[in-house]
This record gives sequence, structure tokens and C-alpha cells, in this order.
Amino acid sequence: MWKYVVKRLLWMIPVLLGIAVVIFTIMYFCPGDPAAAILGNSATPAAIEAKRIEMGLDRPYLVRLLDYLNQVFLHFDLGTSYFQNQSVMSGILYRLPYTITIAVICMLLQILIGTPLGITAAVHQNGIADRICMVIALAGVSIPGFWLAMMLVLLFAVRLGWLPPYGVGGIQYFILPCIANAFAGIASQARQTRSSMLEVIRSDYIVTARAKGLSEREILYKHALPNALIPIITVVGNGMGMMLGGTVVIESVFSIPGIGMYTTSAINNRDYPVVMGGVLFLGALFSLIMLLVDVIYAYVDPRIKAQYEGQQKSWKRRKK
Amino acid sequence: MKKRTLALALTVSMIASALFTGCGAGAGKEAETAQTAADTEQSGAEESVQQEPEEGSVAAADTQTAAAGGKADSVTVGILADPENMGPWSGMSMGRIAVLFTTYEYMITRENGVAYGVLAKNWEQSDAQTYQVELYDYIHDAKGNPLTAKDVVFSFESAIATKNYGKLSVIDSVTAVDDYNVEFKFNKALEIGEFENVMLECAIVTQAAYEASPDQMATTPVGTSAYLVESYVPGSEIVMKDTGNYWQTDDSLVHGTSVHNVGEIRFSVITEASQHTVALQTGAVDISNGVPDTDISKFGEGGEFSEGNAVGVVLDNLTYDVEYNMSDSSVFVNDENLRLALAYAIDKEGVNVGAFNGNGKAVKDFANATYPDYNPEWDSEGYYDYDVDKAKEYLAQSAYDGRTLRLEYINSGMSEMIAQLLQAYWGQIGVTVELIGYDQMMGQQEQYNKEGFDIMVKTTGSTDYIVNQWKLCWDARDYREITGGTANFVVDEKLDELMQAALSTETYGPESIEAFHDYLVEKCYGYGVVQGPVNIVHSSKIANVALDIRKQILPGACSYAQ
Repeated sequence: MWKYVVKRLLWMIPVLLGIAVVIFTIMYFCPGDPAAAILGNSATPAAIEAKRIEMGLDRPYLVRLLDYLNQVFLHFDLGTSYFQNQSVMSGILYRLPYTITIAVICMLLQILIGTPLGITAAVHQNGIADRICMVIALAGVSIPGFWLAMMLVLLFAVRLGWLPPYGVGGIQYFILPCIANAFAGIASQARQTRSSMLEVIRSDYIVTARAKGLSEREILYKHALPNALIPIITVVGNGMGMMLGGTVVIESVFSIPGIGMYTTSAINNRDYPVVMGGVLFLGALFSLIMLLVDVIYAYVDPRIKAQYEGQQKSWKRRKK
Repeated sequence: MKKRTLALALTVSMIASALFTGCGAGAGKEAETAQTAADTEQSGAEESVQQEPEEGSVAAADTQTAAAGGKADSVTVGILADPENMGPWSGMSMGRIAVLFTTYEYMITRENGVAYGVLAKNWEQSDAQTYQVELYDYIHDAKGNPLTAKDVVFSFESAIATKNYGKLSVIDSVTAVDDYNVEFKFNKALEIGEFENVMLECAIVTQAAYEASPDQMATTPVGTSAYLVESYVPGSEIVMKDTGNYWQTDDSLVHGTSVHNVGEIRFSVITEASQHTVALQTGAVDISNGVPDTDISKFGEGGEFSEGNAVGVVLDNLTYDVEYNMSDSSVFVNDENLRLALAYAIDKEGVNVGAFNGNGKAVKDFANATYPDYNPEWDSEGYYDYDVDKAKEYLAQSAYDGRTLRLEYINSGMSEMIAQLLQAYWGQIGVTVELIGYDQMMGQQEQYNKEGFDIMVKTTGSTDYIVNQWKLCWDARDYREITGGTANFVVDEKLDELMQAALSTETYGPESIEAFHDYLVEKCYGYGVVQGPVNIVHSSKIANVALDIRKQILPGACSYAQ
């Protein structure tokens, strides 16, 4: 198993290299000039050109790309922000706790609310509970996050005055952003759980379990749920990635200085090092989450663990 | 049963909608303000906006009124973007301009077109390219470090080295003559307003404080202003406190940007425009210029949140202009009739109403009437006054072949709305227009692509003289290398001569200004359409709002209700 993890970690190197090349290329060909952004609209073309040369933006694509790859992969340096004159890595690390806090809380909400909703819906298929759960799930996937965010603000901050409308501070500042961000995830989780559970509930071994006289509770949580977990975990893994990406909108609406806001503001300013650093960092984080999901698969489903080990054995046999 | 359930669900959703009615819209303001930051370059003077009181009168108030006004312990200002880097010489950004003059002081300031010394006690021109500046001999920064001529030299040399300030490129050398006298040598004879602009371009700090800062003052700036940053949470909040140790003890010499009527200033970064509305509704901020236009009426007289709040409206220094692509291959280059046809087809007042609810102003020049050298007589003269018949006549005389013209604009805020209105007006006379919107950065690049557009809607503005707004389009010396002529590809020697005459300190004056204005009106290479408003919403805690010349709030200079 450990060899599998190490192998996956090593695979992350070409993946990140690919991300770096792609994002660098996109930013290189993206119209707009950071030198012009720094100097403002009133700058003369001559002043902009001088600034471009100073910033090294006049160098050919390949030279800049190789420089960037060398800087990132050999010196572990994501560069310096054009606007903030500050290391991109320190900028990201400063903002990471905000983004991670939102993503983790959202993830927990997704699991703790979405999964029981899905189970309830599956157990009471076509009943009133199923319909209520699925209406909630439908609303979750249909309502845009930013709209929900503003509605929550109007209700809980403006009308009721219970929660702060924006900003950062104590945990109360994260309640509205997390609800707004998690709602779609809760819905997806509920739908996926329902669908997986329905498939499992109809299986022969569940009928057998019932025939054995096991209680519904035992059947549900000991036999059905563990077997329905694989697709649910996949949704959770993808959801974590979505949460990290989805915070871009929520951070903007609630003025939370996380990585999303850092990156979007950099895109508007054509602050290339921040955009590239932010995307690369999120790419690495997402790869790690996916790796974690695969590892969890192995623990949840012994067949998958056996498959990993089987692969290693056959590889060893081939080697011999 | 199903029908009843459905009816119940619909009823619930209707009640929810009714409950949430009044949801603030939010868009556009940010980019428009960013444009202000980019287009206007100098700092300094301020303007006071009297709140729109319940009686409805808007009284004028000057800096001294604000300075002499009531004081307050604290104020919270909503700003649309994080300064990102508060260092004295970093690149301009929307967030930065919001806090700049509370943090730093400059050599001079400018109020209503007149320059006043801040750190500079006196200045004089010793020859065509040399100026001597005398400093006050008792200046110290917010941390108590004395500021001398050497610090001024350090500040200017550091700012020049960043290449972030194009206006400083005219400086040949800055030398400390003695402790309190500095000599500036320039690489050319300066034009109108240029020396003042240089003095207003560079924030001055002491070398000692700068070198003591661990991050080049990016998060811990120390200027000579009365305020010092107490805490900065990047992307969220900046808290500044009055040190109580401001160096200028003679109140008569404390000008707008240096006034400090409030003990603590809290700048709250609110990136979503509609959240500015919420922040004011909930009392989380005391003042903001980021409230979307659509929400302004809620705080005005009779509005939902008018109690305890007020709205101040002041005209922006930016003008929305139309510029024709005058490159060789353009349909406009040899077709004055087509240029005039489009000009006469625009109802400028209609644009003002459509885009700004009538709170802006139709303009009578490429620039607007806020400049001290604007000729008020132009207001009573014709300026392509809306006349559809005349427009159609010109169009009939033109070589227009019915092709679709491409109108380029920055697709944020009001430029988009104005582009749509222009499209409609030109459609009235039979000219088809395709809208091409770009984001700010792309627009900056595409404006010099002569194949990319036929007409451009652009916002331009200066913070000093009308001629310096004209310069942003019509001074071919700045654009020739790229466009071969002016910013919109005009190659016209007479226009160049008139522009240079209006800019030269020797020939600058009403005559050269009039000559340029008349020639531009005659040739119709481009024209102003409308000047937009800046809306400031504030709580009744603030009696009188002070703005700097970029229309940014100067919380220290506001006067507060007693």
C-alpha cells in the first residue's frame, strides 16, 4: 500500500509540471499587460515598454517558461507578486487558513447533512421523506451559490441581525459563507447517497440479511451503507476540490481574504506569478486530496486494497 | 393533494421573495472606480461634499470647513479593494488610492487648481530645467524620525527606480543642497502642471523608517501623515490611528489631505458592491463610495434606510469620450461627414439620464467643466447638439456604405451601458454598430490595435488642468511610436501644434486652450459625451464628507457631527 502511495506521489510531479506549463502558457498568451496595469491607463506606451523590460516580460516564451519551471521545481519558489512585491508562497500561506476553514466546514456539512438526507430518501423511497429530501437536493443543485449567499445575508445579517454580513473574525463570520458554499455539495451528496443506497438495498445479500431476521438498522448501517460508500467517497473527494474552487465566489461575496480572492484579484491585474502560483498550489492540494480518496477506498473496500497489492505482486512477478 | 402541495410550495416561495425584496444588486462600481484610479494620476487637493440634508440643499464647503469641523473617535470606511501593498512607491491600484493620502504626504497638495506646500515650504524655478524646493525644518514622520532633504532625495530616487511612475521620467537628478533644500534638475523644460505633478507623484518617507521596515513598508507603512497603521489584515481590514504627534503644528498650514479630525480610521475591504449597501444598512461601516447606483435611492430622502444616513452626490472628474479610429484603413479617416453624423446623433442628456439617472452631466468639450481652466463660455455654445435630421444629412453626405461599425469599450460599470445607448442612438440614423467589450487589461492593450475597432468609448480624466486631460488622447508625442499619431491614430500637424501650445508653460492660457478646443470641435476626431457622478453614502455621524482629487474619501478630513 505504501508503495502505491509513494508511486502516486511521484506521479504528482509530472502532473504538476503539466499544470505549470499549461497555466504559464495560458497566462503568456492571455491578452493584457501587467506593466500597463501597474502604471495605469494614463501611462504612455514608452513608459509601459520600459516597465515591461524591467519586469522581464519582453523575453521570449521559452526563456520565461524554463526560468519559471526552474524557479518552481528546482528552487521551490513560486515567485514574487508584481503588485504586492511579496513572495507568492507567503501570500498563499497567509490566505490558506481562511480557504481551508471554509472548505473543511463545508465538507463536514456536506457529509453530515447530505449523507443522512440521502439515506433517509433511499430508505423511504417514493415516500414523503424521500420527496422532501429530493426537493431540498434539487434546490441545492439549482440555486446559484452567490444568490443564496446574498439571500442569507439579507435574512440573517440585515433583517435579523444575528450574523455579520462579511469579513473575517470569529467563527460566526464563517457561518453564512459555509452554508452558502456547502448547499450545492449537500445536495450532490444526498443525491449520490440515495442512488448508491438504492442500488445496494436491492441487492440479494440485503434480502438475505432481512431473511436472517436482522434489524433494519443493522441491515442499513452494517451491510448496505459500507457497500454504498465508494461512490459516496468519490463525491466527497470531488466535493472537496469543488469547495476549494467554489470558495472563489463565496470569498468575493463575503470579502474573505482567502486563496480564491487572492487569485481572482491577480487575474484582473494580470499578476502572473500569483495566478500561476495559486493554480499550481490548488492543483497540488487537489492531487493530494484525490490520493487521500484513493487510500480511503482501499480501507473501505478490501477488494480495492487487494487489487493494489495484486498489482504490486504481478509487477514483482513480471520483474522476476 | 399534489396540487395543494404545489400551491403551498409556491406560496412559501412568494412569501420568501417578498421578505427578501430589496436585495441589493451589485456590480460594476468596482471596475469603474479602478478606472478612476488608473486614469487620474495626481494626488492632493480635496473637495468637500455636503450631505444631501433632508431639506434638500447641498451647500458648498471647502477644506477649511472640513478641517474646522467636529471630530470623532473613530470611523469605518468601506473600500472596494485591498491596497495589497501599502509601500510608498508600489504600483497604483484601486485599493491603494483609497488609503494613500491617509498614510503618506507629498511635497505639495493641490486644491481647486492651486498648489499648496505640504512638506515643501517654498519652491522656485531657477532656470528652464531646474527647480529649488525648500522644506519645513521641523518635519518628522509618524514614528518621530526627522525628515530632511536627504530623505526627499532617497524617496524620489527609490520611486524612480521602481519605474512605476511614468511622470518621474522627466527627472534628471534630485540633489540635497543642504538639510532643508533640494534641487530638482529635469531633462526637458517642463510643461503646464508638470512640476506640480512630479511633486505630487512621489510619497515621501524617511530613509530610517523605510530601512527599519521588514517588508519595505508593504504592511507597515510610516509616512509623515498624522496616522500610523496599527493593524493590517490583508484583504480584510486596515486600522490607522492618529499618533497625536503630527509634525505640522501650525493649523493654518494644514491642508486638506493632512487634516486629522478622527482618532481611529478603520478601512474595511468589501469587494462585493452590494455588500457595501448591507454594511451601511447594518451600521458596519459609516461611509462608502462603493454602493451600487441602483441602491443609492434607499439611503436618500424617503428611502428605506434614509434614517440616520445621507447621500452625497458629486460629479466625477472622468469624462466618457467617443474617439474615432483615425488610422489609414479606418472609415473615418477621410470622412468628416460620418464623424459629424454620429456626433449629432447622440442625445448627451439622454445618455446622462439613461446611464446615471440624470445625476451626471452632459459635457461640452472632450473634457468636463471641473477643471479650473475650463472655459465656462463653452456651456452656452453648441457642441454637436442632438439633432437627428442634421445627423441624417451628414450621413447622406458621407461615404458610409452600411457596414457594421465596431464600438470598443471596457465591459464593466457604466461604459457598457453608455456603449449600448450610443448603439441605440446611432441605430436611429441607420448606422449599425457592433459592441466589443473588453476587460480593463485587455482594453488597455486593444486600444492601440488599429484593426480592432472603429469607435471607442473611453474614460479619461486628469486631476489638474483640462489640457492634461486632452493630453491623454491628443498629445501625439506620447503615442507616435505606437500609433503614428495621437492615441486614436490621428495624424494632424495642426492638432499637434495646438496641443503643444496648450501644454507649453510659455503659451498656455485661454487663447491656446480655446484654439485647441475649437479645432477639435471642427475636426471631430473625438468628443466628450457625459461626466458621471460619484455617490457617497454615509451615516449622520459624518456632517461633511471630504474627498481627494480622485474622489476618494478622506476620512481624516471629514467633519463629524458634534
